Amino acid sequence: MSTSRIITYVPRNSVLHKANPATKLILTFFLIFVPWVSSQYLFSSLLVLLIVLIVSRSYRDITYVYKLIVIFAIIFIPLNTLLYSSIIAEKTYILRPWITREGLYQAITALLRIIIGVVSISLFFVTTSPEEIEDFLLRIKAPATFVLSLVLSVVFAPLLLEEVERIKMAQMLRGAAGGKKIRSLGIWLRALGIPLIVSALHRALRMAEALEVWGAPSPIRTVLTPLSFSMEDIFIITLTALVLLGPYTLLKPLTEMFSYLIYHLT
Amino acid sequence: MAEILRIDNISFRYFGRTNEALKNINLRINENEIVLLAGRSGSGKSSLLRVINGLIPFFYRGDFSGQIFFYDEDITHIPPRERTKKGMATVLQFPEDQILARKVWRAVAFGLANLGFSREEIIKRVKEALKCVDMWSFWDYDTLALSAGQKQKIVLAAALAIQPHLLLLDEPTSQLDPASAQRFLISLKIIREELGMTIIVAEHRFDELSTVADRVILIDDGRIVANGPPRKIFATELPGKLGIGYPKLALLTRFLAPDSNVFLGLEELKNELRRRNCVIQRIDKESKRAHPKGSRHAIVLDDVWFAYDGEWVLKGFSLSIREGSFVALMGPNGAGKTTLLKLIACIHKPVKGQVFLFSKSTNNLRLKDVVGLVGYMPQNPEEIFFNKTVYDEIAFGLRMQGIKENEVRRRVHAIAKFLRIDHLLEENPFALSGGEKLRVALASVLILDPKILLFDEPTRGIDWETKLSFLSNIKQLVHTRTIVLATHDVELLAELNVNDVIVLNDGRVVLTGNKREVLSNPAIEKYGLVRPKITYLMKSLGAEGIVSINEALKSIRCLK
Repeated sequence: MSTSRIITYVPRNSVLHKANPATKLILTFFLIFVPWVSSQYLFSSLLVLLIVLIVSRSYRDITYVYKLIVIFAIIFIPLNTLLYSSIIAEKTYILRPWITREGLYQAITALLRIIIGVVSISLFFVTTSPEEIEDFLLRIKAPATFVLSLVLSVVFAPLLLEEVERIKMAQMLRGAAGGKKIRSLGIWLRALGIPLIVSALHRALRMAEALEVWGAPSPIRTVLTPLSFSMEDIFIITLTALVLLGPYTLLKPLTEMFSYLIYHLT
Repeated sequence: MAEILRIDNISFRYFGRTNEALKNINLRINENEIVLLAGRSGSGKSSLLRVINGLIPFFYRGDFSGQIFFYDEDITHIPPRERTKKGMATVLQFPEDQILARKVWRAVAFGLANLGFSREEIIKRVKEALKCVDMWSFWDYDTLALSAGQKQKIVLAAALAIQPHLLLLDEPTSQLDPASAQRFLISLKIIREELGMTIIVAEHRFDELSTVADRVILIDDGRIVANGPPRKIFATELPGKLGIGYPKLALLTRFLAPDSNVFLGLEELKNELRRRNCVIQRIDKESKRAHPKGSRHAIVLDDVWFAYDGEWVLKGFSLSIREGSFVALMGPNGAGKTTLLKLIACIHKPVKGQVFLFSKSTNNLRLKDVVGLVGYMPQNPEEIFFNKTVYDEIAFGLRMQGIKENEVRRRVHAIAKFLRIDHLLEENPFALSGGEKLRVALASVLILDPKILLFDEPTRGIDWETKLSFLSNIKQLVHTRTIVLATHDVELLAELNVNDVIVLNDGRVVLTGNKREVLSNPAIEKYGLVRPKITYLMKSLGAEGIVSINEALKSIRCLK
């Protein structure tokens, strides 16, 4: 369920919240792909992401991403270190014959790249209201059914979470989470899953009823807020430029130093 | 007055069902009327509204026959969205499923935007609609932060923004606290007067609507069984026979003077009582339930602080409940009632302070340690169902404890007999009626014989007869267990023999005392609650602290 929390909009008044969703989407796009180009781009992306996190004032709202990252790191780093250590030609052994410095370096940088991607996607949804996403998608002529489905999933994610909490409480007190065996886990998943599915189906039916009487989805739906270009957007575009140009500007010595540090610390 | 709606010989059977949901319905509605549809859950009220707004047969498929006319135009074959364009709007039971945006004004604009109105026209209409429901100041609010009452007002505003001629409301107050429900229903009269709308509303709450509605239509088993002015309908035996109950004041008149007219408004009943030279006698009020003496404390909360995402929900909360007590928690949505239940159930641990269950701090307890000690009954019984039969559902808790099947069978049959569901043991729990589901859920919780029972709004949105049956179940339990009941239902509470009523607001206890002290205290109205109608009446006649019909009947003596 954490996955639905990381795409739940949290209203704030930050620069990032005020920016146009189109500019935010471009920045997110670059933050997902550019770090994979080289380790220097990785540093410039990381730097920009830190700035974005600070100005968005959303670090607390995406704590669920951090939790996922920790779990992911525990699984990902050892596995990837072993994998890279076995396939990389140049080898400086830390623990012969399994772990090499190069393998560990690659595993850490790959994890950092994934973290940047996940955090930036989460930040986009946490700082962009469903209405802004809707207006943006309608303006670029996305199909009405797709827009409605996307917006509804973002709007209803928090309600679903509340429902999970209630069901969890009732079933745990009936003894549903009573053991560590696979059978107990199966029972627990059934006890949580079936009421949740039934409840979600009921909710979906009621929502579909509401959509029908409100005339949705509609091919003639009015775009309610015009997309504007503001100072906040200039700031975001500057940050996007920093992601791209970082390694070729004043940041170059810093990016190199960062790369050197990660390698030698490992 | 011109006829706005005509229904001729409508019958409907849902796809896959054997019984007809509506049977040969004929109905005429005039412009500017407020019509109350009344009937038990599943009687056909919602189906009738669905026929009018077009969800039947366009959304709900099945065998449909008959015709429907809107301003003399045959709309039988016109789908719901076209009917909305022609001037019909619908407000459904669950407000949160109809708010399809995170900002208030966008939620109100949702229907208008789908109809393709210009942005300027939409803004203008949304402003007017929000002013009409007194929610103008919430224009840019996050819809998730609103209370259930505010959400339902937003949905009403969205319907009003369409500027319909006919407004259809399907149990619009079932999810609201009493004060919000009262305000919502009274606002219907204002809407009718100011905007000249025709309103058809299906409801279980008759106290307010009976004074506002022009007509009551009683539905039973898919048929219209009575149709007339509220005063006439509630003077008959029919509402009682159908199990839907009466408005409280009507009930009082029926007991006091069975041969006279039924009075639905406070003033008219007061005048009648004066005319009949009725006097108020001092009575021994229903004995206050004594606190169990000498028993130990079952639950103690000592200076408990708790926060969600950095926001304090409980602020230095202290409370102690003796073993065998029955305590009601009241307060507006978001007051902290559910959080309190979760702290008692060990789902949450306090940030500061301590919670003790039978002198043991929950800080050292894990949730599995309180299984069998604390039982939790959720608002919606379906939230705990996941087995194929009622038997398996009830037996689940015992099986998880590793109890032998013979003993499981013995205990399941015993609890099923106690709750009168022994004939349902082989049924699918999802296929039962509302009242049966409630009893099966209760049995599933009681099977572990918990010493502490937590109820979270168990009677929200259910009809009066089901409520009464559930009430009798609770009454049987109070002698043996410590019960904490979170509820908004003041009328239900008035009939229950509770030790204490605790009113929470903003994470603190704001009022506490026995039910009579709390329910008759005007201060409860500041916290989303309303005093029972009987209390108002009796106070105006000079009798303080009377909250139930039984007490009122004992204290009034009429000389004529």
